[in-house]
Amino acid sequence: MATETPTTEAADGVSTGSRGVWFAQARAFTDRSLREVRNSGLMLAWVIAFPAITYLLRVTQGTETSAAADASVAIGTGVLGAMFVSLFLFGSQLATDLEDRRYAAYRSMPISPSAELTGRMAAGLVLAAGSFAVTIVVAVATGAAFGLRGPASVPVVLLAGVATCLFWMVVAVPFVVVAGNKRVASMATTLVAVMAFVLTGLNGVVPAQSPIDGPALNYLPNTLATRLLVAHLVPAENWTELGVSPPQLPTEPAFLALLTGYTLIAVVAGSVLVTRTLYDRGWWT
Amino acid sequence: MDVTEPVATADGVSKSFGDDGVLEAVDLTVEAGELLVLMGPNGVGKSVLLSCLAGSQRPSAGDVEVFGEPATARADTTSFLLQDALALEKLTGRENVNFYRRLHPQFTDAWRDHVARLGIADDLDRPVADYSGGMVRKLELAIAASIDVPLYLFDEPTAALDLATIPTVHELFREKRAAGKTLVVASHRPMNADVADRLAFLAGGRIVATGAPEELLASVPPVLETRAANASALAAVADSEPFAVAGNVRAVVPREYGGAADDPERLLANLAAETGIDRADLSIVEPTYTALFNYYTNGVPTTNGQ
Repeated sequence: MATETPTTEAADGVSTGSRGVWFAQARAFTDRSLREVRNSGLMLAWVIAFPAITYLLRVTQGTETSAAADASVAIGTGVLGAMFVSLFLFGSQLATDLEDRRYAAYRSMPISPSAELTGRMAAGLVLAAGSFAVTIVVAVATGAAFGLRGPASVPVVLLAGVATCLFWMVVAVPFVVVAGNKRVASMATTLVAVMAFVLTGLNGVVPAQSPIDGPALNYLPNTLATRLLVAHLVPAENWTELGVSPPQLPTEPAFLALLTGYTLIAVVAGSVLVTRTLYDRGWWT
Repeated sequence: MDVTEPVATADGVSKSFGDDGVLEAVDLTVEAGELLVLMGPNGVGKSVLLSCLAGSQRPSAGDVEVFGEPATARADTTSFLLQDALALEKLTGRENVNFYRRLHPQFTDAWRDHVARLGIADDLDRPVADYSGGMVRKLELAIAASIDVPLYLFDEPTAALDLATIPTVHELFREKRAAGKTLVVASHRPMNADVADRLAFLAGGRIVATGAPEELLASVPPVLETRAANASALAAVADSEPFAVAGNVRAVVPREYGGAADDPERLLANLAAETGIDRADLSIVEPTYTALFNYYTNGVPTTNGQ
């Protein structure tokens, strides 16, 4: 049977080449996700303020600590904020689409699942960066001291931040798919973020508070990234005095490679999950 | 495209969710350039059948082809309006349009005309959360109709719309058809039969009748009408549940009285005697689309199944 190729009269400002379409679709999801948060003042305030408030509660109720120790705690709490955005916000937007049967509509459209995932993740990264930055600003304003170790710290810090967000956004996907319900998915993902934070000693910045063996804190996705950030953003020499060591901070290149591996695995797993479970297509598109 | 070839076919399509069967061996052909209205009561599986045609759901059994390929194989030939599934309530109407404009490579600027004609152009900068159900429907219809594809699948496009808007929606459908597009419109509102080239009735998980509206209308037996107060008495003899029309209730003449249809006076007298309804309160009226809808979807056996 002959197949009609539809005539396309593209709307203004939207590219029609396959690469242009992919970018337009990714941008559609980024823009939509950011606007949804912006249009909901309460959600925006909660996402931005939650880690900063958590940090303030910690430093104002604890014993007197050094500026470097406060900076470490701020980084651990800022990473919690990034995890919260990645798990809760990313997950709840995904769950809303699932619950509202929007994927039935998406599946009938020529949407690239990878464009969707990229677009959603880009929005998550922007919001997570904002949440982390607000926590750091609040920490600086209340006396914490930060400082880059050197120019090489910039890519490490960026990698650690991006890796944290991508990993936890992918973790949100199976929770959303299994729950199939926005409320349950939101509760579950929030619980995961808080449990990971608490059980790993504020994401690995206070190992003494974690029931997990010290060396393991350099290998878990959340603690590895956080401890890399601490190593490159906190101007301290004696980590034991700060309570961050033992274990020794993961500054060797092998740890960077491990974090990069986590990120790649997360991206591949996320793409497969979205393509298979939400779009009901092959393993990869 | 060869216009003699069907645009879409459902061949023995069954769909179940767990133990709940929704569709049972449905056969349906959609011809090129036609406006097919798929009618049936709420919950009968119209949306599921449209989802299978759109490629967004796989049937549990059977095959669905669109333009000669499995419906799930490509997604650039259909625009699927699924009830209350497109609009994002945290965005404004305009932000919704922009989202789908970027999302679908065949989205056109026709949305400007559609929102104006549907009367929501002035509401585009309001959050969709503040829209009424009818306004959401209009926005979703404007979005789905702005995608330039050869096959449109519209699920309950007139649900929640005020009566004054429905002619505008029908006009939009006719324009699409005049432009060579094919439309499948699922609806539980009999008034949408008026715009169809062909009707298909879905009941009990199967297509129970298909045909041109006038042909199917001619197949409906005479219709009895009486006051609403007599609904229970009428229900006692009717083959299916009576339906309300303009303050009265109606039901098709029971099959056991079919032979007496040529003699209306005797038929009415017999029915009055059996039901206890005053003869003066009983009359026979011409079948309408509402009667047609009820005849084929409300307990009447298959008479013209495809």
